[in-house]
Amino acid sequence: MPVGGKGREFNPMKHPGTSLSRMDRLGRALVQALFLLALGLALGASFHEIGGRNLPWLASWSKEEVGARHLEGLEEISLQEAWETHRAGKALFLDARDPGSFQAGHLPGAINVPPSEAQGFSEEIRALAQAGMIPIAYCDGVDCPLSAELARHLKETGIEGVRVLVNGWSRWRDSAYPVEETGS
Amino acid sequence: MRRVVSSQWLSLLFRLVLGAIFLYAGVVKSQDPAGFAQAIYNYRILPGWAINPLAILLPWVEMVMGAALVVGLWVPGASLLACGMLGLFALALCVNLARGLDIDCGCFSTASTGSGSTTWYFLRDILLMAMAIQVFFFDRQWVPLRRFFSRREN
Repeated sequence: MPVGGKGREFNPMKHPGTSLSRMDRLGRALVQALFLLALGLALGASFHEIGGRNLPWLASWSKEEVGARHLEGLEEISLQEAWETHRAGKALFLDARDPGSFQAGHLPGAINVPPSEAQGFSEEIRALAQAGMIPIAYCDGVDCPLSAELARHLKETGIEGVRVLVNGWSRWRDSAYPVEETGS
Repeated sequence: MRRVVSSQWLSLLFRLVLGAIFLYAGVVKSQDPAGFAQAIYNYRILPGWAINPLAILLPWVEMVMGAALVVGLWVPGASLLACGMLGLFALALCVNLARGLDIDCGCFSTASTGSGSTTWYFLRDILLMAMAIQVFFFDRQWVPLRRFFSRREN
């Protein structure tokens, strides 16, 4: 595939030396880049068709469906039930968001447990769960994966009865239930 | 300083490092396209219909580009493509830094400091892009493969 430049033709497959002008060099590089891109796309499409890893070409990525995928295999708790559990003094709220968001405001009595730090909290949570508290993981957003990640991790370490309050922070705050800030 | 920046040995080092990184990244992503699709979704930039095709195809583009850089074939094109991809990645990171979105989870943080990991990814991306630019301008393809092709053509 020849590319013209100042009356000279060159083939990007060749390396005709270092005397090319900047435009020639850029033109050659562009053709090569497009070819590499096309080769990668063709290989990707071919291998997907041959050995497909269960990812369809098209899928819905609405917030609700993403949220539902996160919750697969986990137990959800409704906002009303979470509130009643809290009123009964049995809710162990686990805030899976980042520390900054937690400090800005969280559910009453919540512990900040980002999923990456779940290991360090698992024994404390297990002890509280065995004492009758109900661990309720939450984060913020319908499709936020953090609370589900945390709940899954705790479940895998053998802690029973972990529930997920979907979009917990926003729904709790918007319902005008009491919230806490760090230090309050 | 100028001699160091334009050093062909430095180009060789950068080219091999970049190639290895893209090859590794492509292989890892191609093994878990569903996980990569979730990572793309977390950027909250692309429309839903574009997420899966990108998750399926992009790892292979990275692998082809990485392989070209490692073996020294079509290095100007591979380094230009690397610059383009890293540039788009940097743009996406900038947008999310400005929005305060944590790309690890696709969550909007209310912390005023923003996400540390997004900043780190951005700095890493800029470093890689600088390496790709150096390779584009100064690599002379000191690899036997090129000489082999040149000999056959002559």
